[in-house]
Formats: sequence, C-alpha cells, structure tokens
Amino acid sequence: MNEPVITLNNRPYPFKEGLTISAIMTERKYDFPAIIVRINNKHIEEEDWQTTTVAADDNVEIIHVFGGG
Amino acid sequence: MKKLVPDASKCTGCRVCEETCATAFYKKKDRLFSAIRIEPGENDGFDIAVCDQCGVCQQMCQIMAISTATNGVVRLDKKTCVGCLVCVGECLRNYMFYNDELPAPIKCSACGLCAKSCPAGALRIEETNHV
Amino acid sequence: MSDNCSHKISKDDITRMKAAHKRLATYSFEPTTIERGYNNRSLYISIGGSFDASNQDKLTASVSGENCTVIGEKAVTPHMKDKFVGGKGFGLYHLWKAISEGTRWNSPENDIVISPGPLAGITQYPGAGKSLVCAISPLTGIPVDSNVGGFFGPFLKFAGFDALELQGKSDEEIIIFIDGNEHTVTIDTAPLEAVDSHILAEQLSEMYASTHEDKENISVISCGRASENSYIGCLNFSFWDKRRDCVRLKQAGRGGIGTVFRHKKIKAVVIRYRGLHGDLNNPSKKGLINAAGVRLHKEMAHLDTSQNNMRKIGTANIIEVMDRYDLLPTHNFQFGAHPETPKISSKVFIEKYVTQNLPDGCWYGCSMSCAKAADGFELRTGPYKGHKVCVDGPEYENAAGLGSNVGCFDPHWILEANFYCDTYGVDTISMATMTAFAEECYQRGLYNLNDTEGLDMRWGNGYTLNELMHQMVTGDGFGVIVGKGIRQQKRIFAERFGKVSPEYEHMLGGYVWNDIKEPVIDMPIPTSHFNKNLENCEFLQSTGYDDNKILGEIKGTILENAGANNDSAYIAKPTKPEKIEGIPTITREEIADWPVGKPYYSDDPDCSYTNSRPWVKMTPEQVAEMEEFGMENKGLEYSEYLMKESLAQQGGYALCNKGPQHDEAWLIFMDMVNNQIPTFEDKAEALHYFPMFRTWFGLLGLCKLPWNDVTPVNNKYEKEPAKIPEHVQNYFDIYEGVLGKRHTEVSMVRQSERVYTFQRIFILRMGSGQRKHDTPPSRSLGPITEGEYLSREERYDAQMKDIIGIDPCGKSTAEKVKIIMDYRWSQFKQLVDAVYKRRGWTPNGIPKLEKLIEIEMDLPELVAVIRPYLKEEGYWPQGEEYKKYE
Repeated sequence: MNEPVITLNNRPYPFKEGLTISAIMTERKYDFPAIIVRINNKHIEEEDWQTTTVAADDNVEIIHVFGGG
Repeated sequence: MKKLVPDASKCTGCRVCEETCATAFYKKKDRLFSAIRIEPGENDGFDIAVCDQCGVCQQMCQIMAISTATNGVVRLDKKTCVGCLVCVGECLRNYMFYNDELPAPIKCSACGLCAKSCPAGALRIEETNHV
Repeated sequence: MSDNCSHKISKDDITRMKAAHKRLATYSFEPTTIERGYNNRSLYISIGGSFDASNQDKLTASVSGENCTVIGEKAVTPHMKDKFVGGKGFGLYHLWKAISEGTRWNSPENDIVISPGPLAGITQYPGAGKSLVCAISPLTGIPVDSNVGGFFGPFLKFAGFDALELQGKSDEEIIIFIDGNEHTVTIDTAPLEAVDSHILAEQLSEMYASTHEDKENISVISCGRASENSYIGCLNFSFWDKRRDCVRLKQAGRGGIGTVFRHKKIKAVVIRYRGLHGDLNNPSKKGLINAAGVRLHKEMAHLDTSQNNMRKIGTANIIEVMDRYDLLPTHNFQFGAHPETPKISSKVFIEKYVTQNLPDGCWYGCSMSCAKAADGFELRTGPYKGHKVCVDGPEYENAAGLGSNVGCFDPHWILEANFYCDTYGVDTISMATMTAFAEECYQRGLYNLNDTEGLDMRWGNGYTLNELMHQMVTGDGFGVIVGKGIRQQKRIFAERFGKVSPEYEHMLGGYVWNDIKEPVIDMPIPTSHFNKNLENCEFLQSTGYDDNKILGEIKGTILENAGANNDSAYIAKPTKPEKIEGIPTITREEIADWPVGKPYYSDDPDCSYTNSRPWVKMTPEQVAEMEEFGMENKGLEYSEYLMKESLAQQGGYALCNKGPQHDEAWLIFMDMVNNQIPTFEDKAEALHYFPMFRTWFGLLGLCKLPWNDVTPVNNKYEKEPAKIPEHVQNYFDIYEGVLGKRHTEVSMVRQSERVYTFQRIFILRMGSGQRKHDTPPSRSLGPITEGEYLSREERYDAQMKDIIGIDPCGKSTAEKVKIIMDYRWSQFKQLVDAVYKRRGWTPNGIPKLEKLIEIEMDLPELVAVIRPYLKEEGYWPQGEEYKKYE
C-alpha cells in the first residue's frame, strides 16, 4: 500500500498524523512575510496555522504572494 | 500646546460646530467641509472626530506644507500643498479630512470658533505650557 | 540638514558658466490646457545633423536656429491616443517614424523620446510621476524603453507637452531649457558646466531657479562621463528633495540611452514649472482618484512595516529574502545564495548607511517612499575621493548586482559603485552583470593580467569595481572593454585575448607574453554553498536538506577564490610591449579569416584599448564557452534575479522585448515555490497577462511598485491573489478618474497588446525579433558547470530521478550536467512554443496577421514588416478577407 500523502502546491507531500500547517512551513522553511494558506480551497487565517491539522489527501496551498521587482 | 479638546459625553449631536467650521473656512454649510465631524457613537451618544495636533502627518509631507507652530498647533499651508492626500492616509485616527472639491485637505487649526459656538460646552481650547 | 556638499557651487561659478553660453535657438509656444491627461501635442527638438525626415509627422509650428537646430511641435492625434495611449507607446511611435532600418545608435536620426503617460503627474495616487524613455540602444541595436521617476515627466506635461523628442547631433555641448511658465524653449551652448550628474544637477538647479525655494520647480535630465566611453549610459532625472535640501537622482537605466544622449552632445535638458497642484491633469472624476489614493495611503501607513518595509529601506528589503530562497544571483549567476549575504542585508544598510524617517518619494503623493538615500557618504576612490555625497540607494538590483553577483560583500563598495554609476551615468544592472561576466572569464583563464594591465578581476574586489568605471571616464584601460557590454566583450575577448599557438611563438621575437604571476584560480568549493535551504525548487519532491553535508574538495570548475586583494584594484603593473617587428597589421574585415593563435595587429575604433599590442584570436571552443555563461540576451545584460529554477522566469527574461529585464514578468514565486502555473499553457498564460499588465504601467506613466509591494488585507481571499485585484481596480479607477472612460481587464490588456505587438514588430524591423534572438545563454536554464551541479546535487539528482526518469546513480557529474541541461533546453523550447501561441505569434516568433487584425493594429507599415517573414514561414493567411493586405 502506498504511503499516505497530501497535495502541497500541486505536488505530493508525505502525510503523518497531526501534521499542522506550521509544521509544514517549518519543514519547508517557508518564512516569507506574505503567505496565504488554503486547505481544499478554504482560507486558513494566520493565527490558526499552529492548530490547524491536515488530513490525508487534503489539497494544501501555501502561496507566497510576491510579484517581484 | 494649544489644541481643541472634545468632551463627547456632553455632545448633543446638534452639529453646530460642523457648520461653524465649514462656514468660517470654506463659506459652505455642508458638514463635509468641516474639520470637526460628529458621528453617532457605538452605543449611545456621539463621537467627536477632530485633530489632536499629534503631528504624524507632518513627517510624511514631502513638500513640507505642514509645520508645527510655536504654540504646538500643526498647520497646513494650503498654498504650498499639492493635494497628494498622503497626510490623510497617515492620520492614525482618520481625523484629517478631504473634499473632492478642494485642492488641499481639511485640517483643524485649533482656532476655537467651534468651541465658542458649541451650545453644550462639549468643546474647549486647551493651552498648556509644555510642548 | 545634509553634509553632502563637498562640491559647493558659488554664485561666481554660475555667473561664469552662464556668460559662456551662446544662444542657438529660442522657441515660444502657446499655453494649452490639459484635457483629461493630454495636451494633445508633443515637443520636437533637433539639434543639428542631416537626415531624412520624410517619414516623420509634420511639425505644426517650429523655428530654426543656429547650427541647424530646430524646435517645433507635433500634434498628438486621436489615432496616437487610441493605439498607443502614451508613455512608452508614444515613445515607440515617434521612434518608429524617426528612424529607418539602417539606423544605428549613433546615427543622428536616432531619437530619444521622453513621455509621461496620461496619468502621470497626478499627486493623489502613489507612483504616478513616471516618464518612459525610448531610443535605439547601443547594446542591442533595437528599441529600448526605460521607466524613470523624478519630476521631469510631470513638469513636461504641465509645461504643455505629452512627449519630448531629441533628434540630431550637436557639434558643441548644449543645454536645452524648457520654461513651463514663460512658455519658451531655448538651446544654449554650455561649455563650462560639469558632466557628472551629482554636480551638474546641482549647478543647473542653482542656475535656472530664481531663488533657493524655486529649486523645487526644476528638474534636470543629465548623464555622466563614463557613458561617453561605454554603451551602458543611463539618464538621471532629478528631483528636489526639500527635506534634505539637495538634488536627488532617479535613473532611466537600461539599454544605454545615456550613451545616445552624450553622443548627441547634450549636457542636460532642464525644465521649470511653477504652480504645481493636484488637478493639473484636468481629471474627469476627481473623486475616484482621491478615494483610490487615500485607500492606498492608508494601506501604506498601516501595513508596510509588517510587510515589505519599503519606507525604511525601499526595494533592498528583499536582499535576504532572495538569498533564503536561493534566488540572489551570486558569482555571475552560478548560485542563488551566499554565506556572506548577512553582510549586505537590508538590516546593514538600514542601520549603518541609509538616512531614515523621510518621505522619500520621487514624485509627490508617493506614500510608499522607496527612494532611499545614504547621506554624508565618504568616497574612497576616483576624482571625488574624500568627498561626502548623497547616494541614491541602494535599490535591490544594485545591492544584488554590485554585491553578490560580482562577489562583493562589503556594503561600502556597493554604495560607492552605486554612487559612481549614477554620477558617471551608467546603468547599475548592466555594470554589475557585465563585470561578473568579465570576472568569470578571468578566473577561467580566458584572459590574464597582461590583458587587464594588472587589474585584479577576481570576484569581489571593490576597488576594481570602481576602477572599471574610472577607466570608462578616461577612455583608457580594461574598463573600456567591460563598459561595452557582454556582447562586445565576447567579441573583443575573442579577437584579442587568445593564446599564442606554439607554431607562432617565434613571431613574438622573444617577448615574454605573461610576466605576471597569476592568482590561484582552482579553489575548493566552499562548503558554505551547500548548506542553504534548497528545497524550494521546481519539481523537487524530496524533503529536507542535510545542512551538515560536506562534499569535500572538488577542484577545477567552481569559480570562487579566497577573496580579492583588499588594498588596491591592481595586482601588478605589466610593462607595455614595444611594437614587435614581423607581426602583420590587418584590417577589421580580415580578422574573421585570420588563424587562431597567430598574433596580429589591428584597430578597433570602438575600443582602442590594447590597439597598440598584438592580438590573438581565441579558439572556437573558448568562444563557445563564453556564450554559455555570458548573461545577455539580444545584447542586454540580465537583471539581478536567479532564474535557473523557474522555467516561466527563464521565458520572462528571454522573451522580453527589449532584452532580459524583469519589468515584463516576475514569476519566480508563482512558478517555482507556489507551483501555481504547472503546465506550459499555465506558464504561457502568465507570460501573457503579466507582461501585458506591466506594459500598461509604461503606457500610463505609472510605477509598478505600489501595485504589489504592499498588499491589501483582504487580498488573501482573492481567487487570483498574485494579481492583487484590489489594486488593479484602483488603477481602473484612477484611469477613469483622469480620462473619464471605464476600464476593465479586457480593455487594459488590449491597450497593452497593441503596443507590445508593435514593439515586437519594431525589433523585427531592426533585424532582431525572431525565435533565434530569444535564445538565452545556457546558464540561465540551469547548472552548466560541475561546480554548479554539485553545489545543489541533491536537487538536481532528485529532478533527474523523479521528473526525467533517469537514475543518477553511477553517472559522472559531467554526464548528469548534460542530462539536466538537455532536458531543460527541451522544456524551454516547449515553453517558447506555448508562449508564442498564446501571444498570437508563429513558431518563429512573428506576430500573425490575424492577431494584428484582432487587436486593430493592421497598420500598413506593420503588415509590410511581417509579410515576408509570414510568407517564408508559411503563415500568410489565405482567403478573400486578407487580399487587401497583399
């Protein structure tokens, strides 16, 4: 059986129980000041990143909003 | 320091102050030309929005049309002003107003006319020595 | 307040300079009233020189002065406004008519066109003071457009003109003065004024202002001495900084327009306009402008500190962000990060250099205020050594380019180079990228210390960086070659700096070719290049990166050394050889067939440095090697973002009309990190929308920064947050506010498509603009050396395994580089196909006739250019409706 995954920014990403948005961001070293998070197209406020967990097969978008110089 | 000090608890919402201000400086009765604005309060009563001469606007005025007089009143020189409205955006409490018909924003100069006209005694000019 | 005035200007100096002026022409014009953003006329000035003006629009009024000067007016017609809008559109329109296919940058008919757009000059919305400058570029031979702040554009409009054309070539140094209140234009000879901008702008502000207070009504366009011997001249547009009580400068940097300006012997164009207020554009619906302006002012006041810190440090806020995401170009775009980046982080500039708490707008009403400056900065080199000056900057591009990309991690040198670039009138971006190229060539051993006359071209020597510019001023030294740009460097190096073959050594007659000990170039890869967070790259699916991984020493291909000499630009001074008997002198035409490795003498009028010593041609392999890492496209140097891991950005650069500048599209985060545009079609759509949206800024006279360098609170709920839809709506509001017409995404994209497609056909007309001209250097696509590969081995191995489907195990690094690069070239090819298709172009990059008809640009002169290309490629459409275009 395949390992459970989520989709992170259109790519498979390993899932484990209790995985929070904050944990993903730490793992990925996403520390840009302007980031938008959506799970299954639902917006997650920044104050909820610590406590929001993802489920297997969730579609997670962590979008850096920066249109460049 | 000279500034207008409102006491919202005494305000009856008659808006005489608005008319006095708009008439004195722009010859208009329309309250949208006034530097003092009376708004319904969150619960009962009224909020009085008027500049407290904090001077934050002055820091961001590129053409230096805003200056602080020796008596502490922050003044806007309408002749120098180029109408960019940066000061309006900068005002922390949204006490700097503008009107599309005017080339420069509307800024309270603590002249005291409104205080004299207020029938409820909700406005007074305060002058202290410290700056 | 400032102690920036080591160059005090006395009243006597000004009097003396003025007395030396000789009036060549005076023109009086009728005052106009601006109607909804337009004066409906432009100002035309020709400063001598004979050329065919038959193609140009007629002058509606004019005078002729001495030395064949002409000053006059042209009508801005409804056709121009409808198809070309303004700004860059007007620039390209006038330029098209002024020149012919044979026009080169130094032809007298080359036309510098300066145009603010119809929105330029409003004071209520941030970033609305821009001018767009167009001319045929000395670097590329095609039109270049450059966007610049400062007061000139708005003042030009309020003086009465929607554009200014500068054509011809003067025999004497001249100054053009436009008096917006007296309604006169004068041209004077000006033999005594300075050329370098930081002095000249002060002199002319003093000369043309009636009082000190009047200086806020003056703006000066000037250049500098280094532009006279280089191809990278920029134009400085001044603005009076009332708080600092000094003149500040903003640059129209890209493409060498300053070189054209100085070639015409224009010292300066000065404008004066008194009576500025917020309604001079005579807007249709002022309320829309005010409301949008105050909305954005409030966002800036409340959000900037927690977002981009533009008010504190301007665009330099992203130096460390780019480093963290492996995007900061380092050592000629080899890498995207460097362990010494903290030394040049925005924090360092904030704390040690930049003067704070000032509303630094380059036009009124800019609450973003990114035009930062370091006051009282003491210079260490050059003619102004010891002077305390005001340095405008550092902007991000300057810190990244003159910093990490050339390998310099000393903030002082970045600022010093920034200062000299500005006052000498050269483009910081080209200066940086072409210096990085020259450094890499040197460290690969493609030329040596004899060729540089002892100049230390290792990474990051701050003295050298500035010395190169001082040499561009004197016109002698290796800096003159560097200053011609990468395309010319490649040619000049290839013609001159090859190694003498053993069979021809006897020709040297015992002359010892290389008598200077070379610096060590084979250095181990610093392990520090390996411990960055590297997982944010396209395609990479593995997680985490072992920060402690050490690969040990790898000799050979990595081009970094222990650091340059910190005391001087020179390692040694070689002796110049006497002319050697028996080495023949050949003409430039004969060079092509001359044997490799055989010494010869020749002459290059464009660059006489080393004309006195024998030249040797490089091998074809060496020539090909330089093509790989010379970071130019169409002749223009790349701007300062590492694009290696973003296919969309590789396209954004290579498909940019003027050459690789990111002002058309910056898609790295959308593409590489967010993976929001995974398919070729997605990327092509982004490479359509964003270039069109950003072109629009250049048509209207706007700055890009207030669009997305602050983000409204509710942007996170938007369906397409990257577009910042609320701010786009602000632009439609201010457009309607000034012009009185509703605007939508569809009508906005249409306006841009017309000018964008026009520009593509223009570059085609000038001999570029086909698919082959959009081909980038290999390095922009990925790791071309083993060192680059190994520095991010895990990333590239994972891509090979997971995306390409090849197991990297057991393969040599050289094999792996080839596999990755072959794959990336095939990806790039597919991207170009998709983008051309989306833009309505053929596979050869030619706009189709059907596209011109769709966007109502089926103008005869455009159809005439594309017709032969379309027929040759088999894309000329059949059918009755196309007969009239035959």
